[in-house]
Amino acid sequence: MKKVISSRILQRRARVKTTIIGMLCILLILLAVFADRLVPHDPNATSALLIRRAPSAEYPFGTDSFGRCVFSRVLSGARTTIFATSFLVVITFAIGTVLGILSGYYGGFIDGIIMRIAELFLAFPQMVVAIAVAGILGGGLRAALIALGVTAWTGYAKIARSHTLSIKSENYIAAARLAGKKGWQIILFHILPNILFPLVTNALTQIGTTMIGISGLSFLGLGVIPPQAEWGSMINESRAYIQLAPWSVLFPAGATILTIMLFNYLGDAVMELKAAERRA
Amino acid sequence: MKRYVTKRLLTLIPLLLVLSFFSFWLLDMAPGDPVEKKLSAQGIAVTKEIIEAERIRMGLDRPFLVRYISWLGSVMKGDLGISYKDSLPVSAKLMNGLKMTCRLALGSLLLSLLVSIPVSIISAVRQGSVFDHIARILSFISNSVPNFLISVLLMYFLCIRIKLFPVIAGDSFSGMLLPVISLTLPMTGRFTRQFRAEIIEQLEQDYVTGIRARGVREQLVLFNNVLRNSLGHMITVIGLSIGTLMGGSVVIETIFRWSGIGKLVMDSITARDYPVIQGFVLLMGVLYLLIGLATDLIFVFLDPRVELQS
Amino acid sequence: MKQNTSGTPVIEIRDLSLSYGDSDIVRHASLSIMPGEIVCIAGESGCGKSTLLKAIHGMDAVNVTGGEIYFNGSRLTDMSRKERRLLMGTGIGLIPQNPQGSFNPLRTFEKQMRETMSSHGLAFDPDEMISLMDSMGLEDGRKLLKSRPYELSGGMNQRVAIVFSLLLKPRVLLCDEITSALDVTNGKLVIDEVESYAARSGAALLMVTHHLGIADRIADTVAVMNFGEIVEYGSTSQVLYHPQDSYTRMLLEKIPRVRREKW
Repeated sequence: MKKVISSRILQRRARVKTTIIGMLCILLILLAVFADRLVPHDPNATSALLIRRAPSAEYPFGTDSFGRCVFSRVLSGARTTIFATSFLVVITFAIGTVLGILSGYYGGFIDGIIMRIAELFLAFPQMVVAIAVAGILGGGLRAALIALGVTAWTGYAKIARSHTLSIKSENYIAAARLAGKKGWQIILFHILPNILFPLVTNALTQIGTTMIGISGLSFLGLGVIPPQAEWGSMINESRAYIQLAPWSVLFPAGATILTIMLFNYLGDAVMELKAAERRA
Repeated sequence: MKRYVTKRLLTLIPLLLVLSFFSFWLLDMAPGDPVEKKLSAQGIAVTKEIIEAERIRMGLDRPFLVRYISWLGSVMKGDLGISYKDSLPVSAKLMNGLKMTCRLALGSLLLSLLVSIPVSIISAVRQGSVFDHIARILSFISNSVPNFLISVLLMYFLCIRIKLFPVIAGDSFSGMLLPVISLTLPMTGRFTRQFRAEIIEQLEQDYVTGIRARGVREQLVLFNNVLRNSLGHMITVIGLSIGTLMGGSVVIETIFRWSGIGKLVMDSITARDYPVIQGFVLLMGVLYLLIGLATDLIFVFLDPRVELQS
Repeated sequence: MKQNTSGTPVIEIRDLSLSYGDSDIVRHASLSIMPGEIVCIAGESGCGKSTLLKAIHGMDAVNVTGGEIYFNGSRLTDMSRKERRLLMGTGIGLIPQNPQGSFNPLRTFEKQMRETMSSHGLAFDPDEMISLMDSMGLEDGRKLLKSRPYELSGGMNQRVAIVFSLLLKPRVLLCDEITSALDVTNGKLVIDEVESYAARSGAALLMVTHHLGIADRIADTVAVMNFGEIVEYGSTSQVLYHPQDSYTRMLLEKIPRVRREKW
């Protein structure tokens, strides 16, 4: 006989896990918010005397080939990456959710138009479009964000639409409508709160993908423009002399991997929690 | 089935039009005067007269839509224009690059599938086992590491620290190995996670219990039923990952100096060789649309219920 | 209380307790079924009758927390995995409550039947299947063989599921509310076919139903279940016409019985 673990224990375990990971993520975000005050040195200050120093007490992650403090740049890069990612995720979340709910709630012509546009944006390979747009329009973080954002909203729109459709036929929506509530009131107070969870889960899984996208474009020189610190562009700048100063590549690389893993793990933990709660 | 195929083929037409329009517009959006850009990319000193003559020769005095239509006409004949840099036809440059990229990309795709299919099957069937735990951890990690980081780290540890491989990718087995691994790892992680989830979902369906209740051999339950029913979703996942693969090969080819289409486009971006970038978008877009079409058709063939819903 | 005490019972359960996840479903149930005997388990939904059926059949999801199940005198828990599998379908057949769930929706019935037969080392005879389908009101069997479950209605799927079960020639056939998706005419056809199979082959039937009319018409023995326990167990005439237990009496009053003539 298979040993059956009580679903309530599984649920508690999932809750503890989600809380711990969530707190680590918040810590990381706080680190990014206060990066300016936490950096021991100016992340952009170059020095001819301090080129490619190995990690020491003064420069815990060493210095790069311009003599800049890698630790300060990793911290400052966290700010760039996490801010840009959060910005993009929040914007695409909002746009996708609004369009998806409108599409599902009103149906008909609006639905047709919005879904056709979503299909259109999904029909093209995201990174290819991003590379081309950034390549022709001259790069920069803004171009990279637009290029990544034009496809990212479609995921939210599809989820919001399908959940709105299934909720629309519920009795309480009909009751609200009979009570004379306006369309926007029903959407805001009755539909949105009930479809939020799958949308948030999608947002959490999008964080990792967005970070990979931003750092990938920056690595190619099509995202963040140096000297602004960003992990992808730092790795690209330093990889030519990786033999001489491996720390200037390995520390931002480690930071990237750790951050993406942490946020991906949060997404997994939340989904696991949802599954455990459904079972309990 | 026939109706679905016709309908799906018809939706392709507006998408192709939008793609072509976008590609054409992209070149128009490029900052600076196109004639100056072209001439300076070729290293010609520009005077007003030369620019004016070239402008008329390039047909830039005509309105946007007219130019678009005539451009579309030549694209249909396979003419994607002339590279600013070396005056070679863009289509020939892209095709040469595509051949090299296909070797890399298809090799990686194949390797990814060879690993992820058996691993995800065993993982799903033995859910909760040690194998499953290890497979989940590894696929989680490889799914979380961007491919450019994998290549940089592999290069550092294998080429520089222990000098196992050449730094620049050659056409040899060892030269191809690192770029292929860099592309393969994240894809394998993603495939394993998604395939495993789909197989588990199928395993939890009522019909599996029903088939087992008749005493059908477990192997047949798995291969004839569970995997057969998972196939449609798996193919969709593979089709969608081609887009990521296209972006990924740009990065990997740049790092390993593999002369595929990705390195070509990055070189063209540096050289401001806009027609090549434009051709790249168009070609990749068309390929992606065709792959999407193929996966949709295979899906309907495998699960005709989709046709009834649409 | 058994009608026929000679020979080995095809199914015997002794003091069986079952659980499903965290909760106990069946407590201390004992029952024995002789070859050719038709036993009905009656009770309201949630009383554990379906779980009991699943446990006899050998489904993984049900946990046996106490007691024994014997098939033809051998204990099910002593059997190897393969022996258990080979018993399913041919030894102990099951017609599930939700027959759509017993087929892969995307594969033709023919492929699925062939696969089932080959798993038991049996030959598949399409003509036998077609004639059996015909006797259950499923016309144009040749076309049906080539169709996929999702293309048919629930009632048709149910009848095909019964055909599948009968073709495997089980020694005991477990039927879980098999008429619930059918109209009266087809329900009668199906019951007749299952009953005549039992009479023909000497197989036993164990039927779960809340329809006491069916029990009255075909069962030799009736067991009444309430909250996971068998509260009354005896010959049909005794249980239905001279019930001893207060719950049985209440059940008989609550459910309007279909008169014998109607069936």
